[in-house]
Amino acid sequence: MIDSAPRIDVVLRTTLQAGPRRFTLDVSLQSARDRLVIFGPSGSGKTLLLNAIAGLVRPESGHVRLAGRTLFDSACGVDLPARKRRLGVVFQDYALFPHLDVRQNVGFGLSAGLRNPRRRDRDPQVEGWIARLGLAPVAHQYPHQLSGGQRQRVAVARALVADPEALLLDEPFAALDPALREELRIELDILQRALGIPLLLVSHDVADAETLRADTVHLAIANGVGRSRTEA
Amino acid sequence: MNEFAAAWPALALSLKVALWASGITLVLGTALGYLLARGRFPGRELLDTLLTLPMVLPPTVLGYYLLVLISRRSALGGWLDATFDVQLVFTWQAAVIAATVVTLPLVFKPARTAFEGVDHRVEAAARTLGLPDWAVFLRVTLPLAWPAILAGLLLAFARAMGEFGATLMVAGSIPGQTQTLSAAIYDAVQAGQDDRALFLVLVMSVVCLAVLLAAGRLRTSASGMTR
Repeated sequence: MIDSAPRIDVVLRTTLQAGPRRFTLDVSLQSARDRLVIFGPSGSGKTLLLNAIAGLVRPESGHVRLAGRTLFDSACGVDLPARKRRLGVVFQDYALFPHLDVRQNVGFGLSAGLRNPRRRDRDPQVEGWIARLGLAPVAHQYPHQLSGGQRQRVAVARALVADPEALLLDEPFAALDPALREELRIELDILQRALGIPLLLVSHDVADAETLRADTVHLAIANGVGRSRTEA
Repeated sequence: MNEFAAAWPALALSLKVALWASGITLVLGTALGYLLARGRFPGRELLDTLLTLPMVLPPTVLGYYLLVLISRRSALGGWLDATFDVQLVFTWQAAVIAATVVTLPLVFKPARTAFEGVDHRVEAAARTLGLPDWAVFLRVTLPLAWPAILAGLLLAFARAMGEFGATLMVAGSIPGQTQTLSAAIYDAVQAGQDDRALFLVLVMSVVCLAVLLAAGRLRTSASGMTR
């Protein structure tokens, strides 16, 4: 795709108030490439940033543009609800649906209707992702029966099955042992290349950016304000 | 069998009242549990306390309040009488109202706790997958809270079957019309009909035991699935 605008363009300012404590997030991230890793110590607002991009919290000001689509822009009153942003989100600890099996979890986003997919449903898209991520042997199991790596794959499959226009991941490897981390980073690298959609990953591990050969942004906190520093 | 035929009208009425009250309690209790768990409004804890009160108040006190509320001389009762020609006192519908008020805490309390326990990120995940709020509730929030609500509902049904004091005050004990099983037992004992009383007591015990066993089974199977 030939496009002069940055593929990832996020400028946000938002404040959280919890009792006497105040935290302001004030960030600016741009990447001409499709991969951006956001680093920062815990408490620097990484998850808040991801939630704001996903439309789960509303920032005070700024804009979110991904792959040429404006999802939020306070200047012209654009604020798509989370359900219309078409983003695949892999949450920290994955947030799988505990009452649904792997197949139902993966197929969840294919319909926005009032009923969950049934256990015996077989959808070609769902089966395709299950096969692609090696989940076939556990397709009928529930999240609490899975290993950490399997849960992560279910979360990725669930996020990708509805054809999102960007993929956001919050510490996707933090809960895994080191050998598995490297394996799944390589899988993610291959997936992103195949899909060609922007990938934003929040992490505290520099190895994530190295394996993915991604642009990086660092968040730092000072005086209750989390700010971004972009590095080449 | 003769005994059973004689007991049937009271048993049927108890079942009818308990079914109606459970149905209303299910809808109202789930809605209230959600409101109390997620709503942010002043007086939230006061509302919770007021609705829990019928569980601890003497049934006569509750019955008195209900009588005051629905009698033709009250604002609500008077309006119902004038507009719809409906008089509630000494009808089986009054028994349903009494049973509903008494059983509501058995559903809204566990429902509130269950709704509070649903992980917000799981609901957020559903929204990022394209679901409107209503679908998130029906497909994620409610199914996760459902085992607790259902267990509460079965307790509510059993409790409604056994409701006596408040029901007697607002619905009376008219045989064949408003006489529930528990009221029939009281009347049988008062009249010295010991055989009839014993039979009715056994019928009531069996029904309540079956409901409680079902509730216990639901709880164990539900806790095995969701965690």
